[in-house]
Formats: sequence, C-alpha cells, structure tokens
Amino acid sequence: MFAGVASRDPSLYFFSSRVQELLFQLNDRQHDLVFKPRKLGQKLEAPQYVFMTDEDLDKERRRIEQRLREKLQVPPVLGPRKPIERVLAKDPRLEGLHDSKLVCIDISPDLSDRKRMITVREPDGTLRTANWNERGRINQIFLPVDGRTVTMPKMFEEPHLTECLDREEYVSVLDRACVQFEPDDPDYIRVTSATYDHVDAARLYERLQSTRHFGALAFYLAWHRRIDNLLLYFIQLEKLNQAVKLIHLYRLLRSAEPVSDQTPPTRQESSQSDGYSSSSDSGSESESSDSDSEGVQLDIIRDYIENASVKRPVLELALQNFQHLSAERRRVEREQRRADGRQ
Amino acid sequence: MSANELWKGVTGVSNAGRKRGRGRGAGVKRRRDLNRGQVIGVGKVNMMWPGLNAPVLRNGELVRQQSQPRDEQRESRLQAIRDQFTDQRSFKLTPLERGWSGNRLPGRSIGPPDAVDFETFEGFDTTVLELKTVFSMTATAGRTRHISCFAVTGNGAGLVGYGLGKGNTGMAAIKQCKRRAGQRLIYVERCDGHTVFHDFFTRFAAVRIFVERRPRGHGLQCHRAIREICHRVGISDLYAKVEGPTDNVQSITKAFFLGLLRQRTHQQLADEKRLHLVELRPEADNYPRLVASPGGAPVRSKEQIPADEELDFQLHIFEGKVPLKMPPKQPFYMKLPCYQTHLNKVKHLKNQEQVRVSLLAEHGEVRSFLADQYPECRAASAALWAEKRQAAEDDQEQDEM
Repeated sequence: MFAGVASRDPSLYFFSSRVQELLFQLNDRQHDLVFKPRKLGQKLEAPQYVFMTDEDLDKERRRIEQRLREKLQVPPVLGPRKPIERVLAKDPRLEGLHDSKLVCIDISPDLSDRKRMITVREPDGTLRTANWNERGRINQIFLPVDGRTVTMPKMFEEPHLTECLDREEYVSVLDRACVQFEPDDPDYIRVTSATYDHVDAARLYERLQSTRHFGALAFYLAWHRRIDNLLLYFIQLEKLNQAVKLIHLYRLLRSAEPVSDQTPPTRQESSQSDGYSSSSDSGSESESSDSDSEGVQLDIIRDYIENASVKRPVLELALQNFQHLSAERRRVEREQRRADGRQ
Repeated sequence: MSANELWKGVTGVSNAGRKRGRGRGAGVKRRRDLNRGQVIGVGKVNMMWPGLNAPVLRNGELVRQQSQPRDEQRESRLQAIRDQFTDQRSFKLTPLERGWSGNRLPGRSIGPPDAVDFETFEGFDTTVLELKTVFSMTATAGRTRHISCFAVTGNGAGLVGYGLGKGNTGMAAIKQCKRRAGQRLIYVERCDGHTVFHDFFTRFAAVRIFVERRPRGHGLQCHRAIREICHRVGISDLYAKVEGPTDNVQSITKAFFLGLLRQRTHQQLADEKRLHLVELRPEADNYPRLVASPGGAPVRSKEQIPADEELDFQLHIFEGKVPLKMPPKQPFYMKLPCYQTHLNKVKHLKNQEQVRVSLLAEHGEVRSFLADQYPECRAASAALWAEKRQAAEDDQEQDEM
C-alpha cells in the first residue's frame, strides 16, 4: 500500500509528463479492445454508415487518437488522505438539545465537492468540520454522482472482494472502484492494491491491457519494486520495447528527487544503495525510444536483471530463450532470402 | 331393412350436396359396423341355445335351454369397441413443428426438395407459405377444383427460391412446388451473416414493403411470410412493414425477393460512390471502422465531389426519398389536465421497486430506518426469522450452560 508517514508521496512522481508518457506507452493500445462495444443496458440500434474522403478519414483517425488518450487516461495515484477534521467551536450549553448530529452542507453548484463547506454539530454542542467519511456520504446524498452509492458496496468488503478477484473480474472491480471512491480514499487504495496484487500473482496482465488500469498497475508494481513478473511477461511475448520502458519507469520512480518536467535526467538519478547504477553503456541519459536497436534494449534489460532483479535466474532464462529464438528466426530468414535469391 | 339402407338414411347427403363437399369433415355422422364385438347367439338376453352357442349333447345327455345371468358389462364393452373405430384424424404437433395455425400446413416444413441428379439439396429446408383450394371454370367440366401450394426453400446461407405448384391432390401440388422452388434458386448477400446491408423499399403489384436493418439479437419483426423467407435465407434480424394486401403471400414474397436482389453490398456502394464507407457504432464510442474502400478507381477528393451530390447514406440508399415515420400514437388521456394530477400523485411510488431491491441487497429485508427503534414493526422476512432462530439457539445454549 501507499500508506505510511515515512514513505514517499507517489503523486509527486505520477503527474510528471515523462512518467505519464511511459504509462501510455506501456499499454498495448489495441483499438478493437479500447473501443470494444459495451453492453450497458442500452437499446441497440443498427450502425450508421458515412461516405468519407481520404481527408475525412484522416480527420477521424486523428480524433480517435485523441479519444484514445482520453479513454486510457490512468486513474490518479495519490497517497492516502490525511484527516481534515477540526473543531470550529465548543458550545456546552447546547448539550441535550438534540439527540443526533446535525450536518450542514453548502450546496452551491459551482463549488468543488472536495472544498465545499460541510460542518457537523455534535449532540454535546461541539461544532466541527466533517471528516472524510462524512463528507463522502453527505456529498453523495445532496449532489449525487451517477453510479456511486452512499454506503460502500459489499463487493469491496471481504470476503466478497476476494471472491470477485478469484473470478478474475478485475476490470469491473477497478471501474466500480473509480466511480465509488476518490483516488486518495484509503478504501480505494486498499481495493486497487488487492486487485493489482491478485493480477500480479495470477500473471493475468492481459486482462488489463488496453484499459486505463494497465498504467496504474505498472505504476503500482514499479513503485513497490515488483516488476519482475511483468518484465518476464514482456520478454516472453518478445515485447522488448515495453520491457525497456518498464525498467525506465522503475528507475524514474526510484530516484530520490521527484521527477519534474523541468529536471533533465542525469546519471545521479538512480543512486540507490542496491548498487543498481545507470552506468551501463546503453543510453542511460534518456529513456530509449522504440527506434533503439535490439542490442541496446537487451543491454538495458540485462543490466537490470543483474543488478536489481529479484527473480534473476528465471529472467535470465527467458532472455536466453528470446535470444535463441531471435537468432534462429534470423537464420531462417537469411536462408529464405538466399533460396529466393537463387531462384 | 338392411344395414346399408338404415345408415344411408342416417348419414344421407344428396348427390348435389356431395359435389359441394357436404357430408365430410369433423362432427358429421359416420357409418359404423354394429356387428363388431357381437357373436351370433349372444345378445341382451343371456341364454344357452343348444345347437347355437352351446353343444346339443353333453356327456350323452341332451342340453336344455337355460337362461344365464345378465352380462352387466356387455353394453359398455360394445360401446367401447364402437368408439374405437371412429374416424379421428387429429394429431398433436410439437411447438417446433407447428405452423401458423392448427395442424395446417402453412408455416410448416415439408423437408428439402427431392434430389435431382447430383444435386442433393443438402442443408435445404422448405416451408409452405400458402396451401389453398382454387377453382377454375372450364368449358367441358365446368367448375374444376385444384389444390395450390406456394412454398419457399433455402439453405440458411443465402441460397433461396420460391415455387408455386398446383395439382388435383395436396401431395401432387406440394411436390410440384417444392421441385420448382429448388429449380429457381437465387443467392442473397447478407451483411455480417445476419441481416440486410441497408434499409430499403420494395413493391410488387399492390404490396409495398419497408425493410429496415436491425442489430444482432433483435430478431425478425415482420410479416410471418417474410419471417419464413428470412429463416430460409439465413437472415436473423430484420424489421419489415408490409403495406397493402397483407394476405397476398405470393405478392409479398415476390416483393421481398426483389428487394433482397436489389440490395447493394458495402463494396458496391463504395465502388459506385468512389468514397470510403465507414461504419459508426454508438455502443463502440462511434469508432470509425473502415468497411469498404473503392476497388478499381481511386478515392475522390473533396474538390471532385459536386456540391449537389447526395452524401448522406440513407438518402443515397432511398435515392432521394425518405420513408414517412409517424410519431408513436400517445393515449388520449395524456393531453388531459387530470393526467398531470395523476402523475403528481404517483410520483413518490416511481422509485419504489428500486428502493426495495437496494434494501433487500443491503439488509436482506425491506425495512425502514425506524426498525431498530421499533423492532415489532419489522415485516416477516427471511432475515427476521433467521435472527429469531439464532436468538432461540443462543437462549438454548445459555440454558444448557
């Protein structure tokens, strides 16, 4: 979990544009999965058809790229919120007037739900601001958000949460958590952490691929330094680009200084005690782009495996297998070309 | 009088009446052989008649006439035997075999067309759409009667054909129409294997049909004849409105076939317009799916399209015409002021169902926030009885301890 006073605040890293770009690149972004038809209880109509020129088609494609970015926007990762209760006044003479708490809320529509005034008068006469729990309930009663319930749904409590996860309903649990909770709600952090742990244990990363939750999963794993399983998954699928991006994300989140958009990456970034340094030959100054050669990518991955990985033997074996397969494929292609050339 | 004469008197129909088909069908008296189940010598009076139903000599002695006790069950036995031989021709059909009405043939399957040479008609099924008796006046015989059968056959994968057969008997007519339907097959293109490519209008004789494409799972919302044709073609989702004579099944079939043949596939539309054809589905966030691009000629650019050209898909399909869509008729009372009063009165009940469901989900019973304060007001429910049972068990445990 992200909880704890001593631990760092993930939000300082999450919102940097470099981290956001990495999270976007780590996603498969398959159009037919991102835009798959959703059964939301609506009445289906026959599809519409439009005649388009090449320009119209390009315009639509650009619109779709923009829409893709919106749909794959990663839900914000914040640390757990701090209590905001404070006593405004004490009036002991009001004791006995009421036998229940009275709550006041400012329902002006132009206010933010997080900032609007909500106060509570206790039966003993104390006037205080509402705590987060009360704020959530009262906001939902007077200014309801569609899909949210006033009380927490039972599916987020044990044992129901574990049952849902055992049924591999990851996306629906995460989607509902995004609707029900605020990102800094300890319950949101608990539910999402449990889901990501379950996905990681079952290695079912493909369930979250092409959804907005994959970025959050990658961030969570990188933050807690548990990227080995996901790295293995990428290597086995021969997605070296994404393996390298994951390692870059890991390095960025490990740096002592929160990543900001202004600070350029330097060699001192990953100066942690485990000896994983950025002194490899590969372009440690910059996050590699997709155009990096396979050799460079393999170097980066090997560097991580040797210095920072927990499951070193498994990863080395996977990398070896990939290299053998790659070499074999190149040999077959060469022979094919030679055979074609002879003909 | 002989049995024949007696029966003729009871069931008699004149010659002229017989020509008109009187004296046939259900409910009419039929002659029955009353001798069945009877033996000569045995009757209402149960007696031993030596020489008839008993031997003349028994152990060297003459047998005498003797009356025997009455057979009580004789009447009912004879009646049961006579009831057995009534001319009952009704039989039950399973729901899948049933046609449009009763045990009649329209709407029922008559199997695939008979094999001809190497063509075995595998996968084909034929449905009768019409089976009727028709008369025509001839010079020699006057009014002559024939049976007419109209059926459609298809393999559910695009091949379909209809045929009309006439004969003196039903069997002959059915055979002829099935053969003709199998001889006159056409191939119908379907979109995504389940529906037509686009809405269309078609007509034949006085019949006009407006056909609309529907999404997967919608079903066939149309005239029963069109529904059968769609089953044979392999169309599973469609809306069709027949205007004009809805009982003229043959015209409806011909109109519908014309419409299916004149459909334009997506590729054909893209080719004739020389533009890309893109599909937008609202449930998929209107993702622009490229369905067809022009084949031979290159795609036109904006400058090459004349200003007055129709680019709207629906208008292009209907060639400038628009089907008239009347707004759904509202009940008369919705305009009256008392309706608003009624709506205001029932407003508080609108959400009742949803509230009950969420209370059951949360508490296991329908209860108010006052239930804790006034437990005697809780309605009898599974949750309440579970609690009472638990309390009783706890009390028992306490007593035992």
